[in-house]
Amino acid sequence: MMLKQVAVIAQLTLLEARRTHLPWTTAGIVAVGLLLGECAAGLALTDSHAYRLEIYAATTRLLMVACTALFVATSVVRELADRVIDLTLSRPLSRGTWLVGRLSGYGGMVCMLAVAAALPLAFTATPLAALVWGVSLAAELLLVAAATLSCAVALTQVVASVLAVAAFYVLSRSIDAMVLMSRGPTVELGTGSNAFIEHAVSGLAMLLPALSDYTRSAWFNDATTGLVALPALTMQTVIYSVLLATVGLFDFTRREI
Amino acid sequence: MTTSAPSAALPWRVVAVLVLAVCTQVLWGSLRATPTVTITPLAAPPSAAMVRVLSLDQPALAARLMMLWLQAYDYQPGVSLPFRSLDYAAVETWLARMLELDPHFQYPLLAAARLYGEVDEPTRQRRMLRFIARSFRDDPVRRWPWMAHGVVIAKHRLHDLPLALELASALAQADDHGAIPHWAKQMRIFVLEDMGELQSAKILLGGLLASGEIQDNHERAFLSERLADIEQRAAQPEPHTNGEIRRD
Repeated sequence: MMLKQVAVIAQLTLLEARRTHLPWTTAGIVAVGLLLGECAAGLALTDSHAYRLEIYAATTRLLMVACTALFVATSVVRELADRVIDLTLSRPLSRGTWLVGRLSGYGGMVCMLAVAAALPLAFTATPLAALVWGVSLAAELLLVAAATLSCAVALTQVVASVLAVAAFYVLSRSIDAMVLMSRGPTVELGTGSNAFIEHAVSGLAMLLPALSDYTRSAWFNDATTGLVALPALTMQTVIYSVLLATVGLFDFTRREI
Repeated sequence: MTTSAPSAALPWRVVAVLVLAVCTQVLWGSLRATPTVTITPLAAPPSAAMVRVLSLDQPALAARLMMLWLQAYDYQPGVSLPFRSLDYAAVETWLARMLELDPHFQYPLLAAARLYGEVDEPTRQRRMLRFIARSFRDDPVRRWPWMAHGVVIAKHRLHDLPLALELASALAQADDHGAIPHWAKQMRIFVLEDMGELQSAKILLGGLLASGEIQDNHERAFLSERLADIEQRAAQPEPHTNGEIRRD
């Protein structure tokens, strides 16, 4: 029964994505990425193919992340603000089921976004590299969707939710560099404050997903490395999606609607 | 408007899953390999046209941001690179690009003279001095302090008197409209003196005093005293030095 309810809510989420012209937005993002990639390749004196791939991949990745965060935030906040959630929860449906259903729907949506982004790469890079890159992008977007869902449920504001997710994303992508900086050769770890900062940053690194390991452009040259990294990334995505969904559910369960 | 229920009303399963998820994440994070240091080589800077486009046609701002980036480049996450390990050809290109974007910007020349020019590696120091000399020719009025500093580096750090003379001569001969002070222009005379070229130094110093350009009495007295000293040394028989150059 619960699985059926989850599937229905996921279907409704995908329907919402289609009706809000998300496929066209996705096509636009891919087109912009291709255009920028071609421009970069045209300007480069040498190694133009690498420029084409890397500019396309970096642009599309960032725009897809922004698109996912904005879509999820507006979708959830609209449902909460329009009181559609009251109608939904007045039926024999638990809050947990609604949240899991929403997350599943967003999961399906981000898979489609990742397929659309990786499709041009299948023709320009090797099919294996495109597959690895696409799977990793889907995992990354799923984490962004889960984080946005939790933030939107807790904050009920589009701007605040998107900014919180942007901060989470930037921090997660730069946490490895921050760890290295906190224990660099010029840092005197014998000092109390430096040791505290080093421990705090290392602790934060354990709590955050290392998004710098996801969707790397270097995999276009060495797809096998990406293939080897995929199981660990999948495991990390599962753990963190459950964590984010539970955080969202924690707040959603406390809320009196 | 929504309100929050007390935490005690939460289903225990939600709390249990949350605790379990956090513990699993911490365990997974601790199992992850420690990030490794990756040294990124200094790439060539983007073209001036590209920088203008990217900075929305604010080249002065872009030049300042580029300078800060270059200055911080030697400190990458987890590693501090010594200047001697940098690719100075790339560094020079970056500095030149900043001057191209904003010709009034002094920071690149300061960096060339006081940061990258202080490296304990003669080839790299000379490259920076040549860069300063080339930049000086484009705008001697604003850039003479860095050229004067270059003369000092060439003379006292590199002990390369011909290079010091070349720089000091460029400083003395620059079309500066009176912007370069006399002490900077006179550096050529003292470098010549250090090189043992007493006759040349005597002629230049005598000419300078005779031209009436030096108005300050103290400065005239000092230079006259120095001229007398040079004349005295020039009149003495040449000691056998085996071509050695006096360095003081």
